[in-house]
Amino acid sequence: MLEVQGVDAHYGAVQALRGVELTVAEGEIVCLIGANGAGKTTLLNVISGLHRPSAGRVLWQGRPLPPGRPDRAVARGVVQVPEGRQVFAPLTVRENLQLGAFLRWRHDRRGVERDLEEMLETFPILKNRLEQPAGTLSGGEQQMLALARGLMSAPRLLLLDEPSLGLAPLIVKEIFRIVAGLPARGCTVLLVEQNALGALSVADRGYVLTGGRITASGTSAELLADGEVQRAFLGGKEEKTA
Amino acid sequence: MKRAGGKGFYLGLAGLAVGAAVMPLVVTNPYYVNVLNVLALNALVVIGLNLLIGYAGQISLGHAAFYGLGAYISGILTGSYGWEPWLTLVFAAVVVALIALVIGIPTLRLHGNYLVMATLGFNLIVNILTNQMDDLTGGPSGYSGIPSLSIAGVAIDTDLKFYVLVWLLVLVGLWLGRNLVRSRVGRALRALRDSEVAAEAAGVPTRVYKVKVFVLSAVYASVAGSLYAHYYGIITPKTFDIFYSVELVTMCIVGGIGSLWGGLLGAAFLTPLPQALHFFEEYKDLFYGGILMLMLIFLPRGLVSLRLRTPAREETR
Repeated sequence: MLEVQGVDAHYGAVQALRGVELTVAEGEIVCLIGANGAGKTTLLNVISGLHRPSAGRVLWQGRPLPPGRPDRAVARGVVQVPEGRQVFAPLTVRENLQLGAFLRWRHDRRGVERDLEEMLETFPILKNRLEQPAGTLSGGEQQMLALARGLMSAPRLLLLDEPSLGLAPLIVKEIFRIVAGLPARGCTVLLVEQNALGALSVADRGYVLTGGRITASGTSAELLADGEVQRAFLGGKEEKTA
Repeated sequence: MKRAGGKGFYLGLAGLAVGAAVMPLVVTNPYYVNVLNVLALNALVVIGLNLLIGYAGQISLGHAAFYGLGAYISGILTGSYGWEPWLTLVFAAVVVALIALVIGIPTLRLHGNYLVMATLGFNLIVNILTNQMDDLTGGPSGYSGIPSLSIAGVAIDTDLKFYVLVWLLVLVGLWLGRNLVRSRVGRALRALRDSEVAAEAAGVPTRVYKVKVFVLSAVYASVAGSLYAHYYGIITPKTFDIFYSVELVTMCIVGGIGSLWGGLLGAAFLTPLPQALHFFEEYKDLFYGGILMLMLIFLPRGLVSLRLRTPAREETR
C-alpha cells in the first residue's frame, strides 16, 4: 500500500502542495484529477523521489521511500512514467525499453529479455520500430513506448502522468485499455489526468487536487456523480450520463 | 573512418592501427614524429573529455590541470624521489581521480553547468601553485630531469619508441571508451544526456554517473600528462594553463561531441594547426576561437558528421 502523509512541497518560495494525504491500496487504480497547476505532477514527483518534499513522508509497503532518490524508488517497484512522452529520442526503441529495466539488467538479464518480448505483444505498434530512434515515432507511439519503458522496470506501483495528453482519441482509448489491465499483472496504478472522464472510467477511486490540497475523494462513481466535480472537470450537466 | 559501433568500430580501430604502424615508415623526420606524439597525447585527453561533454552533457575547463597534475606528480616523484615510473603513473591517476571526485561531487549534484566554473577555478589554482611552489615544481622555468619510461628494460627514450607506446595507448583508450559507451552504463549516460528527468525516472542514478564520467575523463588526462612528462623530461606550468583546457574543449567540438572518433579527429585536426600556421603563432588563440565559432555555426556535430550520421545514433549499432 502507498501512503502519502502530510506532504508539503515547494518550488523556491512557492508552495505547490499543502498537507496532502492519499492512499492507494495494492491492486487498485486510483486517479488524481485537478486543473493545470494544481500540483498533480509535483505529487507524483514527490512519490517517485524526483522532487524532495518540504514536509511529510511517503510510505510504500509500510516503509518510507527515501526522499529525492528516484533510483531507490524504482528499485522498490515504484516507477513513474513522466509527463510529455519523455522518451530518449536518439536511442532506439529497443534501447529505451532496455533502459526501463536499467536496475534489473545486471542480475536478471533473461527476465529483461522475456519482458521485452511481452511488451512487444502488449504494444504491437513498437514491434516494427525496435531499431528505430525513438524520436522518429509518432506522438501516440512515443506514449506507448514511455508506458512500455515504465513497465520494463517491473513496477509494483506505476505512477502515470497525463498519459492521454495531446493524443488522438483512438490512442487514448487504447492506453486506458492497457492501464485498466495493469492490476491483473500485479501492478497498482496512480494515474494523473486532466481527462477526468477517461481517468474515472478506468479508476476505482479518485482524488481531486485543487491549489495543492486534496479537496474531494471517493469512488469513481461518487466523483462522477458529484456536482462540484462535474462542473469543474466534466464539462457540466451534459456529461452526466457518462 | 568508421562508425564507433559494432563491427564498424573494430574496422576503424584496425584501420587506425595499420595507419599508425605504417606512418613511421613514411614520416621519418623526427620533428613530424614528435607532432604525431603530441597529437596522440591530445587525443587521449580529448577521448576522455569527450565522454564527459558528450555523455554527461557537462563541460570541464580544468582538464589541462588534470593533465598537468599527472605530469607534475609523475615528474616530481620519479625525478626527485626515484619512484618507479609506471607505478607513479598509476599513483598520479588515483590522486587525480580523488581530486576530480572532490570537485565533482558537490558541483554535479546541482542541475546546470556549475562544473565549468569549478574546473575553471581549479585550473587557475593549479597553475598558480605550479608557478609559485618553485622549491618543488621548479616554478615558471619548469621542472626537469624526469627519467624516461621503460618497458622490460627497454627505455622509451626516442620519438619513435614513444610513438609506438602512445599510439598503442590511444587504441586502448578508444577501445575502453567504446566498451563504456556500449555498455548498460553508456546507454544510461546517453539517456541522461537526452532527458535527465526521464533517466532518473527509469532508475538511473544520474548524479553518480555524471561524477563517474568526470572522474574517468580526469584519469584519461592524468595518464596522458604522466606520459607527457616522461616523454619530454621537462615540464613547465605554461603547458597546462587555461588555454590548453580551452583547446581541448575546442578539439571535442571540432571533432564531434559525443563521438569517440570525433575526439581523435579533433585532435588530429587541431594539433598540427599551430605548426602549419607557425608564422601566426601569436594569433593561435584567435584561430582556435574562429574555428570554434565556424564549426558551431556550420558543422555543430563536428568533423565526424561529414561522413556519418548523428554521433549518438552510430554508437548504438
